[in-house]
Amino acid sequence: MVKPKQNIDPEEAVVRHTPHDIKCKARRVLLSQKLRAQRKKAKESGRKERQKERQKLGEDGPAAQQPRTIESMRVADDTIVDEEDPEYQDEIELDEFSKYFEGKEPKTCITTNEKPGGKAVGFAKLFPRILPNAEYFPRQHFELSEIVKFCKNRDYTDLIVVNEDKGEVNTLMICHLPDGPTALFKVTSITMPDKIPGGGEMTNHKAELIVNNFTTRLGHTIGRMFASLFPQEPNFRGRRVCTLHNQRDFIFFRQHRYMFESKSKANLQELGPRFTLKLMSLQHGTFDTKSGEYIHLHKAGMDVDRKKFVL
Amino acid sequence: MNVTVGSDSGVVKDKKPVGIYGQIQSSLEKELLTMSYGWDSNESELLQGYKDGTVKMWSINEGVGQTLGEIQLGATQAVRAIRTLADRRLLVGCENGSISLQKVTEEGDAKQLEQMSFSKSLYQLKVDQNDANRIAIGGKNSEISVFDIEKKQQVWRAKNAPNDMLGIAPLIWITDIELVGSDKIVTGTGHAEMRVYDCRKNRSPPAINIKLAKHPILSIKYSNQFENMIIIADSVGNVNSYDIRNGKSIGSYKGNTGSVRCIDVHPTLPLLATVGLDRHLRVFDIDSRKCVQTVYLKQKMSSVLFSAEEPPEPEEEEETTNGYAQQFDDEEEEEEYNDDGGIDDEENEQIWNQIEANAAVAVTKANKKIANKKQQQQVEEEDDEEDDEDFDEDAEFDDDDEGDSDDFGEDDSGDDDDSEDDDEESEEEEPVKSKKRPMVLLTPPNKPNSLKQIKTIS
Repeated sequence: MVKPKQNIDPEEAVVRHTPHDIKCKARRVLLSQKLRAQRKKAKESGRKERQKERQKLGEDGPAAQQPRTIESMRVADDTIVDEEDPEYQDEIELDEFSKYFEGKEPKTCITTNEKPGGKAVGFAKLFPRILPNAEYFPRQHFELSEIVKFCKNRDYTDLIVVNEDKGEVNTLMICHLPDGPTALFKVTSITMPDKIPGGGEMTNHKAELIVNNFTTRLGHTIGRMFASLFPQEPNFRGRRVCTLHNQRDFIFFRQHRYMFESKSKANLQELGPRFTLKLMSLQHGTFDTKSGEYIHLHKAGMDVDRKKFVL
Repeated sequence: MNVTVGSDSGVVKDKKPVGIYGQIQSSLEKELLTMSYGWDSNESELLQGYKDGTVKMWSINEGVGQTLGEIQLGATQAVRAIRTLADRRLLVGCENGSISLQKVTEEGDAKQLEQMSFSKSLYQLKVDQNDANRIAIGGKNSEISVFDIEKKQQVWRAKNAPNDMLGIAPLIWITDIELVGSDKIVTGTGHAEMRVYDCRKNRSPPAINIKLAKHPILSIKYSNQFENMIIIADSVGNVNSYDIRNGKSIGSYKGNTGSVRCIDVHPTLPLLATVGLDRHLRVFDIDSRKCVQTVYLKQKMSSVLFSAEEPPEPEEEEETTNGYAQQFDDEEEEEEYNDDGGIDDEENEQIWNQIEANAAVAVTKANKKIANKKQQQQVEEEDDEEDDEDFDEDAEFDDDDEGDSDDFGEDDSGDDDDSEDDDEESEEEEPVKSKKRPMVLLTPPNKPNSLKQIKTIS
């Protein structure tokens, strides 16, 4: 079957004059400069008008325009959790982290990759000072699957493995036990406590935890995973707080000592390491790369849309 | 049209919750492993198999589900496969290899007729469509074999693939089996291999043995509508289709971000449903590999079943063929349209003009409507409405629908005419080949150059 030719009505044909249509560079540049000047002028005059109206009308005047940021233009995600949802609440009561929220205290085992360098060990040894009931063990020659078994036998609730490559720490694996999910994070921008200007010393007080901006279902799972590492009853008198802030799928870890100057203002002194995490994968069950199922696996295709986030 | 989805915590949802059944249970102990429709041709019975050895029977009427009964098989026997046989009998395959043949009454009481054990491990059990006494089973370290249940004999057994270059025999871990035709068996393994066997020769090694990726294959499915194509889903979210004859990859169904635990194909329509740990149900068109619909289902999903019902569209289809005839005011033409290929040039032209008109309008409206569609999805629409969105086949007839609703007041879409029609039009962009159509293949042409071309003919 041969497709018949389409007759385009000359009146209805759309003709455009954008810089893209013009092949001659000189003319094209002129046009684009003209358009840019027009746009700038329109923007300025619009702004001035709005200012005038605001002066005239006061509160009734046009509201200030909000800048468009990547966060404000974020692609709508249907997995954003409604905390009031009874289905979500039911699921929470029975998931892998529920034991922590019912009172079971965390017990963490921290280790590194095999034959770690100084940086990996140094970074790993910070965790026992941040987390309650945590202990660093040198890796020696054990396989991770074996280590998971040992930890389960000794009633550990979490396993953290710091991995380094070419001398620099590059990934962090948090495996919740006994059958919790395993999260693999990429670690970047590490600043050790002694390198923080004006920084203070960490103390033994049980830290409070702030987990910020985890909105989607996956984000909530990760947030709960972090929460289950920290003490359930922090020592408020110690005024020590750890923050895990998610922004654009990057999780920023900060630790501060705070002091209230007045009821609304607190001064902060930064302690502890600064580092940034990015979720690479979340695997169902304990560490098992061969036959484990992945709940979330970061693929290159996910980075294409700059306004789509998973946490 | 329903898609029944079982979450690994025990809640069963019909697509676009027509109904949610069950309670959330801890998925650590009581994980849902498999689901199957019962004996009723209306698919009002549902069977679920759990990790702790229970089989639950549900009776589902109009969105309300009731548990009929439960069969307990022992706490160590994770139920891996449930297959219904004639005469209200049930085959339950457990992970430790035991197969239990049960007889279930309509009230849900089950009596065990027999128990067999053919292997030490069973991850999947499939019943031959042609001969209900033959079953194919496979598991971890348990090579795929076909047994006759009545005679309790092994009918066929596969030979392992040849040793690798180090002389090591490949490990056996069969995760899913699909019986294709009467002579082929396709298996997916936990080591990411796809194997195709010719089951006419006993003890034959796989005719095709291909390592597909690095992650275990969780589900494979064959659709009768597409010969030689098999769809394979693995634990990372890759859902790909392969050619059985040579093992070549045909294409991939993109969208899943987590492990895809179960896929199902519709018995008559070219649709694929995938479900997994990323808590979404995705329905794809098998041909074009486009995701026709995504539904967020809050729970991690374990299994999916496509109901055999077709949407009410087919009835309208006949009306619309008349609609074409109506427009051209000629009964002769109507008859010719109903033929498989006897259309001559004049009518040809008219049809193409029609399609172009549709396509032109559709393209302008499509972008708006797609955005609206996604919002409308979750909230008010009935299943029927959704069905319309899924089925591109009827895209060609869209404008006729608008004409028709005047003539044939029997439109199911009478409630929500505009939105439905618009939704259908938005599907224009996705070409679909349908094998069931009496009319000649009518895929929308390439997008017209001018969007302002022709108005709808009504």
